[in-house]
Amino acid sequence: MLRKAVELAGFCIRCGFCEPVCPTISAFRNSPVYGPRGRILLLREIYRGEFPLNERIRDSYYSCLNCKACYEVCPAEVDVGEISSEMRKLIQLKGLAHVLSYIVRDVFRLYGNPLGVKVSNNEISKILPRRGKYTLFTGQLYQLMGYADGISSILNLLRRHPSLLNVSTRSGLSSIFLKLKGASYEFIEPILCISRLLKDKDVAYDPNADLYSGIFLYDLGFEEVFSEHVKKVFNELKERRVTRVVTIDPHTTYALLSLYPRYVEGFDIDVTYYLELLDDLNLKVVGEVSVAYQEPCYLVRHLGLAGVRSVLEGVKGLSLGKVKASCCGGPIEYLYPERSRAIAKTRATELSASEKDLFITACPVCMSNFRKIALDPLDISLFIYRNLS
Amino acid sequence: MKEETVKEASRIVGWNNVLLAPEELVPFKYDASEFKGELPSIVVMPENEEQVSELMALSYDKEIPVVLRGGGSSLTGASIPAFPNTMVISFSNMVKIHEVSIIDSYVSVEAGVRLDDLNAYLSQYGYMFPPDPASSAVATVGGCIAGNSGGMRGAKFGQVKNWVLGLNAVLPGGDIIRVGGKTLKIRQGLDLVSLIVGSEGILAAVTSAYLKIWPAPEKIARILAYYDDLSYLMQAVTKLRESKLAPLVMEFLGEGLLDAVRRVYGDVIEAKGRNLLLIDIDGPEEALRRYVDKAIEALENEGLILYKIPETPEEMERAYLARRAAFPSSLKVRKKPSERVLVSDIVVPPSKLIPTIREIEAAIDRSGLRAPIGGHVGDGNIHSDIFYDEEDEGEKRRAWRLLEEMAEIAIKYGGSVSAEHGIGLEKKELLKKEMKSKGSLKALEIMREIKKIFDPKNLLNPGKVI
Repeated sequence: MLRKAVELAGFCIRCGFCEPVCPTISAFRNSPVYGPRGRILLLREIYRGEFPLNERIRDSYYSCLNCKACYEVCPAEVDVGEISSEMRKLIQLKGLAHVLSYIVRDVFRLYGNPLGVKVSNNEISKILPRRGKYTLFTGQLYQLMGYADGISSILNLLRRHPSLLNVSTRSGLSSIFLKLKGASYEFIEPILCISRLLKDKDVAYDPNADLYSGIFLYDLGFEEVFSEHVKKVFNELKERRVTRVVTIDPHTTYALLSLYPRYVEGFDIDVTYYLELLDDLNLKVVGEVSVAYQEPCYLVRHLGLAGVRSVLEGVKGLSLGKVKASCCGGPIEYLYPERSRAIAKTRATELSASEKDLFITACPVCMSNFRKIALDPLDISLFIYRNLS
Repeated sequence: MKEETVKEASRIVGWNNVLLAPEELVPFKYDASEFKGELPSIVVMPENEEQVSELMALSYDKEIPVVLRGGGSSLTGASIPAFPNTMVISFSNMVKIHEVSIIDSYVSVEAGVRLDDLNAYLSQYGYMFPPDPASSAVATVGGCIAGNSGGMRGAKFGQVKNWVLGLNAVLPGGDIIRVGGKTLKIRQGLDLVSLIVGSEGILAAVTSAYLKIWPAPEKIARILAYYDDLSYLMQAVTKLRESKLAPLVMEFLGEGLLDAVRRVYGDVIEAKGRNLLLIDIDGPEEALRRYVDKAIEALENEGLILYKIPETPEEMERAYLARRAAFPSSLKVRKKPSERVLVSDIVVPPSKLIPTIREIEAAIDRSGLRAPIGGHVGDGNIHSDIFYDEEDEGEKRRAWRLLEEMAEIAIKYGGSVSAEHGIGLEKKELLKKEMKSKGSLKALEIMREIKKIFDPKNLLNPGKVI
């Protein structure tokens, strides 16, 4: 893994072009080791044996958002998100990851999702038929993000009482997650809207085929657990004769399109992001509406899907600022909540989010993180559903 | 570093603005050069001039070397510690743009403001800060002042030194000096502004500056002219200079760079022609056609293969990006990660470009290395990216020798070993060679004496430049 990471960093010439665009450096006190160039420089020192592979290096790599902002400006096309992923795998294998990460893994092993909650999808089944050309695959991310407030209070409790984080009490802690109350409706509503939008598109729903994608496990560096899980998901889909899935959020779409083929030999399921099926939208707004749009980095940078922006740009009367895509900070909220909120605040300022008539996003992670700084973005699906002419 | 010193430095800037953990200090051993510095003992990130002053006083009192850090994009090792037990002062927290005055033609900025951010700010007024080093996205005002940076617009606007009206700076010991001012003309005895600009952080810590600003070009016409034979391209450069046109940009891409660029920008870069001359001419719309005709007249000689004038804004932007991407594009065609690059930065009078380039090409051939050339020919500045395998000691030696040879060629034709990247650690010996060849070793002595006056204990960026 270390060697692979070094190889990925191979062509870096240390020019530093990546630093001004990286959202984490400024959130981590302008310390460059929490930015792309610093991550590479530290990695090379570790590889050469000049810096010890110990707990100190953890935060440099776990703080990376994998937003690809650095990749976009890198003259040598170095992908520091990939490098950080490799380093996280190594760090967790060495037992150097944060104890909260291991809790997530343990809960996942017991309950099939990182929160150990029971996700109910009955409402979707009431909207979509059981059989169709496509099968809706939510990957449960919207549903799980609906528990974000509950998770935050538990994590705050753990931070107030660090003794609870003792490794020997991990299994006990796992059960705390089970006490989470139901998911907030703001995260369920988009799924229902999307289901309604897809009703006439030959899209079916099979609740038993709609499993958690495993993306958080991958993000935390648990490659083996992720690898086992994705094979299970694939087998489940195959068993139910699903050949085409429709995804609804950027992270699940990324997992299925970019990661599953790496870990499942012969992965042959066709993956379509739901907006690609909605090419005949005719949206209308009343009067002039200014919009701040938080373009999800996984959607545009990882997957090259600029469809949401095109949907919004095509609406008459709607003015959309040309602010470049940048991460909301959400992917690191679990381990670094304060830093994550600092990134969200910076991003909200860049977007002038509170000064616009509407603040829209297309990602449950973005939605959750902006809610933590008292903003309330509207999911794109709701905007579409409400403004269909 | 003693604990009490760390405590004192932390008291000055606040604990939140101190980096002490070893992993956080590692990035400060490096910049964009090929050098590796020493691990600093502490990095401090002051928020204002008073804090910089207190830190410099502390350094002086405790005799701790100080290195100043902006964007860390130096190509010569100017921003890394050459000695252990160093305190790095990073300007990442000093990023305020204090004021802009269109009537008085200045902007007042703190040292940590990045050039692209400054120009984005000025663009709302229809103005710009003209020097545009290729690293403008990451380079800071303080770093560019220390390095006296140039860039593509150097042909018309020169270097940073032409655009600094006044400086606020802190001396070793903590004294604050304010030299120059916010006026377009000034006489203040000996010109300390000019002395500090380009001093690569060995004389004083610049905390903020009054920079002269200029109206953004009203309209630009871009011409791409292709030549197989480099002599004809250089002949065109000479003619352009004689034409009194003063192009905004006059850039040359040699064969190796042009090939690399073609792979990505084949839509705007023609397939024919081994070398490219890119020219930007600015002016009012009604005069621009006349300027372009005049430029084409200068470009036309028997070596001209063809020329193109991009018409749509998109085509113009793509052609500009292609030039900007020349260095990055050449990086992408490296064979393996251990292949590194040394960037040569010589300058000669533009009238000497033809023999200079001929000799450089011969030197590259002799070296057996890949070293594509290009540069800002409008002001006689030639860059060459010398590629070598760092795992091959012989190749590494040849690369450094080639860098030296190019510098010697520049000296021979009345030029200099560095145009805009500076001396740093990289060109100390070459600077000596240049001054010796000019019979001016005394000038180096004077520089050393000046350094002693500013910095009697040799604490500020020691080991660099002289």
